[in-house]
Amino acid sequence: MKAFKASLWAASAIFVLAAPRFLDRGTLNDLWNLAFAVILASAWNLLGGFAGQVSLGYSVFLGIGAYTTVLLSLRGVDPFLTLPLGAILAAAFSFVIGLPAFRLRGPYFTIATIGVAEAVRVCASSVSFTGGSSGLRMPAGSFDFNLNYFSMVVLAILVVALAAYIKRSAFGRALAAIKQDIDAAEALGVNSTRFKLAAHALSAAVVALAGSLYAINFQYIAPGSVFDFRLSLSIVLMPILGGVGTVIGPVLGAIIFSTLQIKLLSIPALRDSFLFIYGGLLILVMLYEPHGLVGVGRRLAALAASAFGTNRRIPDAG
Amino acid sequence: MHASHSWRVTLQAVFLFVFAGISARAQDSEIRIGAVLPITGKESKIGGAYKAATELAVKEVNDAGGLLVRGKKMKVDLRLLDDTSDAAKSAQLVEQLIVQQKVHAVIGGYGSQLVQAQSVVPERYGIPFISGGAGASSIYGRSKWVFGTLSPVENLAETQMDFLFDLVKQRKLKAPLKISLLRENTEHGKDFQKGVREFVNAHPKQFSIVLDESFELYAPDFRPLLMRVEAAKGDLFMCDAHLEDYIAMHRTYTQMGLYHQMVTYGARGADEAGRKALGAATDYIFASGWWSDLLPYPQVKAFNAKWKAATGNNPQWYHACAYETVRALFAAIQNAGSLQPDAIRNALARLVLKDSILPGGVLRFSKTGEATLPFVVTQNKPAGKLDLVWPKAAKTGEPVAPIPR
Repeated sequence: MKAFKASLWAASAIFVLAAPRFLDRGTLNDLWNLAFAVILASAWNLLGGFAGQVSLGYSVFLGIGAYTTVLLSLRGVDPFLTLPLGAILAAAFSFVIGLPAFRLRGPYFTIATIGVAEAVRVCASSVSFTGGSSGLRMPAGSFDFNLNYFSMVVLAILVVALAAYIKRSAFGRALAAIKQDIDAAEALGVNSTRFKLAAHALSAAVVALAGSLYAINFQYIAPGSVFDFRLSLSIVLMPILGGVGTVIGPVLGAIIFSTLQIKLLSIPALRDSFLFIYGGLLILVMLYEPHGLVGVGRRLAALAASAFGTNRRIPDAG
Repeated sequence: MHASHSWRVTLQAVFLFVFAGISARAQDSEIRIGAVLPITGKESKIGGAYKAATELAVKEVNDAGGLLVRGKKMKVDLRLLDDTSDAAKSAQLVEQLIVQQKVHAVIGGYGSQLVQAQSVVPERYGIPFISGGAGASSIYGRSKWVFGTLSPVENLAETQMDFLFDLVKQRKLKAPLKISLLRENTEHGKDFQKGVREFVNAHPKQFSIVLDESFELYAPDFRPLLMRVEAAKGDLFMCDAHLEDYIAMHRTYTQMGLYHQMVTYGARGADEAGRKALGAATDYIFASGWWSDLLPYPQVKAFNAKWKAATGNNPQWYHACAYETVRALFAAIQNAGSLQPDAIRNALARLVLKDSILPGGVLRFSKTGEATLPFVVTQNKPAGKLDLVWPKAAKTGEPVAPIPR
């Protein structure tokens, strides 16, 4: 069965990588958006899902990646060469946020991350090197959609693979212990601050990479877009909808989120219902299935198992 | 296979097939025009007005049988999307209209920061793009596909300074005058600042700037900024702001009991939404605009009547600019006689719309794609009255200066 699962993931990866050969540009755009959403959701899940630290400030890292790329590109640096620096800066900034913020727990930590994100957005809107509220455009002639597509899709595949690896690693088990009971984890010798900082830095770096690719593809960024609180909120909502703490949950959440966002907004009769539908789904998830779509899947599997008379333990969906 | 895997297999299959669908191509029996506007969100007040005017212009053409292309009348299919005042979404939707809905041309949105984001897309696909809601010069001249019917904001500021200078010459205002200059931290604001600064530098005996500050777009609180304005003790208050910021800032200005001999918020002031929100506090504010319903042209009077009949309200500058943008595009399509992007683009570049309702009466685009039309200056008067006070040849009332205390 493991081989079957692996082959399905591999088939999905091959499909999206080969897609430019047989799909039109519009559908490829959708896939690009989907890959972007998968990266953000899966990266947030490393800290929020695996370690249970709910941050609402991830747009900061996206903005750092995006601005690093645009600012350096405007100075003649190849945009793709700026990716590592954006990731390093975001990881470094995650320490700046994390060192004081991880002293807080639960909702206090979450509120602190909102504060930091808003402060960064306001600062970015007020200074001139970011282009102020008007933002900045990439230099002309630096657009190659096929390259952008492959970059985003490959990054998405790597991030999902990384999440799967971490979940099964000692690092992942330490994060799970922190999520279950931080005091108990500490008592067992898990240095919670160190693990949380590491997960935060890793996810920040990944989000910054996505931010850089976002800037390269859209060619224009502004503080109101890349540091937007709604973006931070969306990053959190996707794994919640799909199922936090699992590998497939953020992917499912990202599929639903990006499909709703793009498809519904283009249908005049439904364009105003996007937030309503998304909000409704979230309410349903929180009320009836806190584990998201993964939880729904588990329930269906349990029902099917009982219907067929099997009595096996339902394995973890992640 | 175990049941828990069944749903995963199903979901992955759905994932594969959902995105494998290829969007159906519509036939070229109609003209597909895309439009992306901020119908909801922070720019929704004016975005909604742009929507109404765009739809009216399209309805008029369709009611008349459509546009004449290749010798036959073709109806216009307007595909209008809401970007929720989000720049990133705005660009995405323009791309979606071009790539998936195969539109022949795109009408840009309202707000320089949103149009700035949209304007990078047409160049990628070679599709004509025309905006009636962005006056920041940095948007234009980068792509041959991008056109705009709003004249540069820099010229707006110059017009205001010409008007103030004329008041000095008339001895209604006494020079030297100290200006407190505020601007939103956008390209729009920078252009405004540049226009004022250049005029002040050229007229140092009459004007000086005692405060020059920027503020964040949609700022939550203007009190600290206005306290600095108060401390600067300027004679003239000149600010460039979006409608929401104008309403919020002038409410605070009024609450703080500030006074200046003349007050302007750039293009804001005559807006009905502002007057409703602030009442008598907006009296005597002067504004430079891209249009006024008081312009003495027969085509403006006809448009006013048409708009009033359709909506029951008097048109504002944004209704007129949106309407004229659509008209300009349609005129270009008819002149081109083709739906080929190059032909429409070239027709836009060559367009001379002689019966334009915009100031000057003739709409054409400069080499950068931006229209360069004269501005008008209006001044709010008590009891909701509004006068056109500049240019002098078209004025409907005398400017009141300084503002009575």
